[in-house]
Amino acid sequence: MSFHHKSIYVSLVNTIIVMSVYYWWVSGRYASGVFEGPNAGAEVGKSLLILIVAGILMQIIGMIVFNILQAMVTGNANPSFLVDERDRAIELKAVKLAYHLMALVLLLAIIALSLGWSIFSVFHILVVGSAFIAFVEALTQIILYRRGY
Amino acid sequence: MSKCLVRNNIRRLRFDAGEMTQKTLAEKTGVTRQTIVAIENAKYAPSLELAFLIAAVFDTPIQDVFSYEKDRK
Repeated sequence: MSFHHKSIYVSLVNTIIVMSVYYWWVSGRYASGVFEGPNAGAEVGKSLLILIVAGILMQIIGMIVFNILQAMVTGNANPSFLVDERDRAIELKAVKLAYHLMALVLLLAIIALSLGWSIFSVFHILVVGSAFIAFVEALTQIILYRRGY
Repeated sequence: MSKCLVRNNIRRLRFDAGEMTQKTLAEKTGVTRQTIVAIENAKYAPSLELAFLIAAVFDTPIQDVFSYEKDRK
């Protein structure tokens, strides 16, 4: 299994963990009424910024932990980080699919906005959509790796 | 998904080269072993550059390594 192939599993697990924690945290804030009133937009923005920063940090930590665990299990202290043309081709296929799905999610968000949904709802259509797309992108790559290409 | 129509003789060429391992070929061409496996099993068509690199490892013309097979219905 190449480095790129392994990193997809880390991303997949990371997406599930970050989104689960985020929705547990946001649902609590939503229930307490933080996302209502004149400061709703600012609160939604703050929540999303925290999600983005947490997502990046978790990805970095996840890769470090994964590489340490791999080195311990395999006994290889110098794992290969080689990313070759097939890795890039597989990633490109998955990214292409992700872009098409993102266009659909954006359309859904615009429709929701035009129907008068709240900023919180519209932004969370984008967030849930993005998480779903990240999940599909990772799964697509896993399937392509299993098939060979 | 489009079917890979590029066939190859890499398995035979590895055998002729003293049973060269896929790992050795991967190291000599700068790709992962999994990519060599995918090419050898005709799952992935390599770039022209990689195809030339593989041919160079076996010191043979590229047409002796790869061939194009038209889709048979």
